[in-house]
Amino acid sequence: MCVECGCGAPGQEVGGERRRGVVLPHLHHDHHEGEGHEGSGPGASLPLPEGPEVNRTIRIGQDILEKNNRIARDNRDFFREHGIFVLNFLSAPGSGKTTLLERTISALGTTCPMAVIEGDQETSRDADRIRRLGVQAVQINTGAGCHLDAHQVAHAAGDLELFPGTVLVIENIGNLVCPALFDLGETARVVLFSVTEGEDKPLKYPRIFREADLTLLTKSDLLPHLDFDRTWAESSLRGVNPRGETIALSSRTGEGFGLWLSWLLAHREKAGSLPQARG
Amino acid sequence: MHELSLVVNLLELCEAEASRGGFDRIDRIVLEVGELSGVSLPALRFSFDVAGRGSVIESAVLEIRETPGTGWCLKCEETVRIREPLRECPVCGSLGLLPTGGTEFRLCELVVRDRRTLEKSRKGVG
Ligand SMILES: Nc1nc2c(ncn2[C@@H]2O[C@H](COP(=O)(O)OP(=O)(O)O)[C@@H](O)[C@H]2O)c(=O)[nH]1
Ligand SMILES: [Mg+2]
Ligand SMILES: [Zn+2]
Ligand SMILES: [Zn+2]
Ligand SMILES: [Zn+2]
Repeated sequence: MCVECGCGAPGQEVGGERRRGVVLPHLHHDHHEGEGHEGSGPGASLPLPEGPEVNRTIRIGQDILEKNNRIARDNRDFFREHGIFVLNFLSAPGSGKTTLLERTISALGTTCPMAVIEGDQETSRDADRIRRLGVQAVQINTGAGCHLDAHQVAHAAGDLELFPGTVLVIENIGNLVCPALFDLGETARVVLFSVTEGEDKPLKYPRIFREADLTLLTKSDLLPHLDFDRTWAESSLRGVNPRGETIALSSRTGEGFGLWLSWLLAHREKAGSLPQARG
Repeated sequence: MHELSLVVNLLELCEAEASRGGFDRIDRIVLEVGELSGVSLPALRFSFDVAGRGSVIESAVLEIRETPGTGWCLKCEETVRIREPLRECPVCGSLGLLPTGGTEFRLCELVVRDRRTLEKSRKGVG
């Protein structure tokens, strides 16, 4: 059981060898270090002893997302040590993340082992779509939550069989705002931006686009039917993110897939995900 | 409304401090929130009231220190003042800005109240 959340998540048994592949260690075992355990639970309304009350100031100076950042760092170290290449897919709902994954899985076939973590507020429809293609997938349902966090990813990854060289794709919740704030420990961020969304999205949501390693302009097959100004969209993307790359593609026709797959395989190699050749 | 989950993170930090420091009540919570942090202050205050109910932060006053957004303009090659949402360079109008300040979302300090502190210090003095 996970000490962080007490949720009894599977796949986290310390030393558990029930899976093939690398076993994710309990990534957040150290969170209670240095904390008192005298049973004076937080928020417990103990009767105050008699005597005048005293005010004191405690200086903290800690990033409020530090807990998430710490778990994300642990995830990243784990993925790097085990040669797992991890992509965080971010976009508005319906931009084509799952469809892109499906076509990518079919295109790569058996040349590249894959695994998927699906985030949605409800249902396991997306994970079912991936499993139908013979690829392992874990569904995270966040309920009211509007983004994935590093802790959820640590658990979900513990439920997957991950081998060196595996490409692990995390499909985040469809939302252009807060998923950008939560580091999951991914190797790279891929933001999908479909041509039906309007070309000003990068200007309206600069933060998510700014932090993208790659932006995919999806559903390019629809361009002839829309008055989407592609040149303007691409220049505003370069404006908010001068260093990121952009590829236009269609999961329907396969246009642009050559570029996308080469990006994927080249970055996987660069991240050292391929088992080292010995000799 | 990711502010709600931010408040949950804040609450966890405060609870950890409370069990570490053995205090019972927090009177004031001082946060530093940058202009470019992506945090909406009205939504943050609303979430604070809702999520804080019945917890160690329930009766605390939330004090927010805003820090200004700044960025390095790749074109002007200098630090400029920027604001949400577009953050274009106010000098040259370019969007090629790397944020350098104003992305903070930090818990700075807690003003806490307890009686045991006084008792402990009395005992300490003898
Ligand atoms: N025309 C067209 N439609 C697409 C393409 N990719 C996805 N779609 C459609 O867009 C809708 C949303 O796709 P989905 O992959 O579920 O989006 P997600 O919410 O980002 O995972 C579905 O109806 C897809 O069939 C594409 O390349 N071209
Ligand atoms: Mg989907
Ligand atoms: Zn856990
Ligand atoms: Zn969120
Ligand atoms: Zn400038």
